[in-house]
Amino acid sequence: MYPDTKELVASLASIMSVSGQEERGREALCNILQPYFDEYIPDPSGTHVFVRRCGRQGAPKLLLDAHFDEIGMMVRDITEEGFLRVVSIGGLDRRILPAAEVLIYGKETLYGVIGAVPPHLQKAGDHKTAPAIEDLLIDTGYDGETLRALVDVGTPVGFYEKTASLLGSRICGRSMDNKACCAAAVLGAAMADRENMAWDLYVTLSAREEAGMASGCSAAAYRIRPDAAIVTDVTFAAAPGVGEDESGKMGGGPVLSLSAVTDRKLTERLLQLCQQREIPCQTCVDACDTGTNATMLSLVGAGIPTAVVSVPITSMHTYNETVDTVDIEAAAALFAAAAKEGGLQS
Amino acid sequence: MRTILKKLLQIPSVSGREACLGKYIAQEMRSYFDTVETDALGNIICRKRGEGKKLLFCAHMDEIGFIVTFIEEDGFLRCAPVGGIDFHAAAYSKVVFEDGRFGVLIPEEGVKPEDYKGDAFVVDIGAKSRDAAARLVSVGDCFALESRLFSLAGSRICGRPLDDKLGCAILMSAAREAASFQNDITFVFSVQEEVGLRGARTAASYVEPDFGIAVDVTMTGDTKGAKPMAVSLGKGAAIKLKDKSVICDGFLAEKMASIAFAHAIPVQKEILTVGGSDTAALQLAGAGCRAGCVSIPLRYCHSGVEMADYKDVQACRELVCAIAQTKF
Amino acid sequence: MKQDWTTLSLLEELSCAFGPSGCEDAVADIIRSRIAMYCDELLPDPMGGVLARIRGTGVLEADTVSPRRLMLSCHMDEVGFMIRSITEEGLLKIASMCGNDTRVLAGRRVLVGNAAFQVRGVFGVKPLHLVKSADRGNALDIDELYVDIGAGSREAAEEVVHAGDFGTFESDFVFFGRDGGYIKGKALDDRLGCAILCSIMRRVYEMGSRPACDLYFAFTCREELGISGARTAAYRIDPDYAIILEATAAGDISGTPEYRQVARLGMGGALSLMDRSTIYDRPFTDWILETARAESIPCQIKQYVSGGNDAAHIHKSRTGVRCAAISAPARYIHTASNVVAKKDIASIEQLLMAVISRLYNGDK
Repeated sequence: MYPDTKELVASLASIMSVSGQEERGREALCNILQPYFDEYIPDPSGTHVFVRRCGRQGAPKLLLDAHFDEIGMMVRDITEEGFLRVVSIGGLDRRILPAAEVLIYGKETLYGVIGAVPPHLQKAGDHKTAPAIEDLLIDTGYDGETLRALVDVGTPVGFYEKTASLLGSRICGRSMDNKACCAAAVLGAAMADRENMAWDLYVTLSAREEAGMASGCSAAAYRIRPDAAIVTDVTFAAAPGVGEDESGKMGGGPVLSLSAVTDRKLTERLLQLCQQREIPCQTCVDACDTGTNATMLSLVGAGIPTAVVSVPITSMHTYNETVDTVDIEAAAALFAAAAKEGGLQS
Repeated sequence: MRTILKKLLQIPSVSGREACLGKYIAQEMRSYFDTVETDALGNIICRKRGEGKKLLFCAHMDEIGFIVTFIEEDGFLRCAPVGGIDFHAAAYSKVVFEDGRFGVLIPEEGVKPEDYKGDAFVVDIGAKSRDAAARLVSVGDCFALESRLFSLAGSRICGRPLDDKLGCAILMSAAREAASFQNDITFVFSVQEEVGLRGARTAASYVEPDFGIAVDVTMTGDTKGAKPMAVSLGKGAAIKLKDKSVICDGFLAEKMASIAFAHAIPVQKEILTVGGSDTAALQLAGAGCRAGCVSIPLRYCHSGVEMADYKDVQACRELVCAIAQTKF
Repeated sequence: MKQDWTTLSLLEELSCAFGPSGCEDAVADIIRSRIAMYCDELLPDPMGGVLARIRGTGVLEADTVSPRRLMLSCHMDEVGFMIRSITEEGLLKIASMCGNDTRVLAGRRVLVGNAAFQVRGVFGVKPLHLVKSADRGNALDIDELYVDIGAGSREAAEEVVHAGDFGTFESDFVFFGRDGGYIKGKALDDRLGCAILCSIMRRVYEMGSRPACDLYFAFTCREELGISGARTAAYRIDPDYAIILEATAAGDISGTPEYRQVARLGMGGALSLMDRSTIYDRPFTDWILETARAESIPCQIKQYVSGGNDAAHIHKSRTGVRCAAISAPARYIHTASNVVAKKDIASIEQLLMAVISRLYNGDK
């Protein structure tokens, strides 16, 4: 029994997980994933670890990592008049913030709008520059005193957009980076037939990737000590302004990263698997940094052979990131196939 | 605590050269802890075994300074900064070497203030030639701006390097309450924070704590022209939520806030948009831990006139004690 | 079985080997074949490094420095680049690794491929005549460079190379200068460290007796990327002391003020006190300097705070490692024409042997 891809992505995306807040969604997450795994291990780093066992004692461990956190904001200041100032969590694109809708996760969840200066009040030339995040004000519709009772310095703020369908198999919304890949990992595990698995499969939905230090992924891996690892994250999809040789094609299948910092043999084995199982796939070159958890993950302990399998996405780091479920399902098929293959790492 | 702070300020400890200060601190801490160890990098690791969770508190011993890289023919010294030196604040200052010798830090003639950086500066120790200088100073010797401490209006104190000898003083003073500590408690006096959070990382790998709490200074939003920041001097200990290097553990930050509330300790929440702290190293080392930071509000950080409010320092000490005394 | 090679002949072989960061297998194979019989054990390394162990007797009589496990580390990789894509015309567009200086790439002869197979190519540039005069003084952007391997079409090129393949310089190994005292070659940073460590292993092993402490020799990957195999190697080895053998950028050329020359060719290995990522263990470094002085082996102190090496990762490994770095002064590093002095290689080898000799208990 597999979950429906769109529903799975939407339900994962509905869980707010701004970096540093990943533990808030534990119960909701466990409810969704419980049918597909044998064990849930909470990690103090905020990473959620789900295990699907092959049933053999001492089986090697394959780690499948998808970061669970998303970009967002944190309240820095509450003004007398009932506006909020924020700092960004992760790499926010400040060009898209004015007039964006947000949710503020205080004592109650409040709705807010990021303020924008109306055209007639702007100085000449203002419209040419995007405002700095520290200058933005979030309008909550409350007065300062009431707001202070509901919101504190440090309260997380996330974007509002829910997952929605576009034409065909494409979907859009906030947090597709990286809930699309979380869904691919979960779907892959669900598809892996326990009888035929060569590994114990550890799916880490890891914390704090967007904050830049891969601390959640590395900490969990340090405890798990996997024999090999696959990191799944989003990558740029071809779009206006994005070069053909720095992106993947939407709907063209997962993108495998060719990089000097990942394990080339493991990557080539995965490419072969795609060919054997007729799973569509593509490659891209990330010369010296994959920009994913893989870079740090491969250095955990005495080293972990690591490959990167990405899902193409457009409008990355906006609140309407767009992905194609065809790519998510193909990535999942590759993970399910990998779970059956012993000796991938050597 | 003032006495402890004064003593700490007298012992130079530029990053990488913390051994003397470490020796002094280790000596002082021995009676309060079960074990006091020095690790390969020079961290002082003081452990009081106990039931339950393992808590690590960490203040860094090192201060920013300079290292001698070359001795010129005419007796001037070339140097490189160790840690985040603001050359505008350091120009034309009296500096002190580890052996107590003085010098003055001078930009080359004609260098504009906007071009102030390491290579534009020399140290004049009064030596007339390379030979004369080499008899007194070697390549690799370290020096720093002169340390000092003086009182200002009310409870404000000023001097250098309060970053982070205030934190060390807080831990040393809190150690006197060690008999009342719950949990398994380790105090780490770390090395090389100013050059990249290096010491805290190896110390945390050794201790493998469940919770790691740095005790370090933070900037404030109440100076003239400061960026808006919800931390002010005199408003209590700051509980760090985020700085440039780390997003603190939410559970731990809330626990710290509730402990402060229960003990009526004044606290403020801190989000720092520049600068990092050992907190990040604690969070990342080995399998990581839940990390947070008790921050001491400090104005004019990394200058010769760092300013703190003694009431905040007291609040930080109380908070550290209260955390250590609360069963986790 | 005694092998017929010298430090310099091995250096030549290693210098010419293909080993950009992330593709060090060819270099690793050479090293493994030279040292396998001179160690007790080769350790597995998922990162692709070569880790070798010479067991000690376990007890060192007290000295100021008395390691349990000494790690001697050098890196196998060299600066290189990666093929990003292939154009219709069969030209290769490249992706920079570790910020290549494009001024030393343009017009150069290179090899592209993988550890097993490479083809020759040339970095093409637009002819000067067609460049606007205002732009003639500007360095080229990495996007303007392409490698021409002589293929006339994408199809022809794809028969031999693919996106994701690696590339590096092709450069002869040349002795030059007075009495042939200088060496020019590519990748001397840090193949000379590799060659010296291979020689040291052979010399230690051939002495017949065992040092008091365990000696670990690490030939690491990916140093030039800053994402280093030294980190995982140090984790596996778990040493208490480490010596990093490197090449450091020497600035001893006309016009550079003395205080920025860093190190001088011919004056012996340069010991680092501090660089941009490590503050070295002073007692250990002083102990090495003292060893050199006692044996009258030339060496110098690196007189500038610049660069960084594998110590960055090793000293912070686990609960901390006491590190020292000995670097061969090398001019023009990260180009196709590194220049080092032959006698520095000899002095470094001599110094390391003197250091290791102190780790024996009288009976060596």
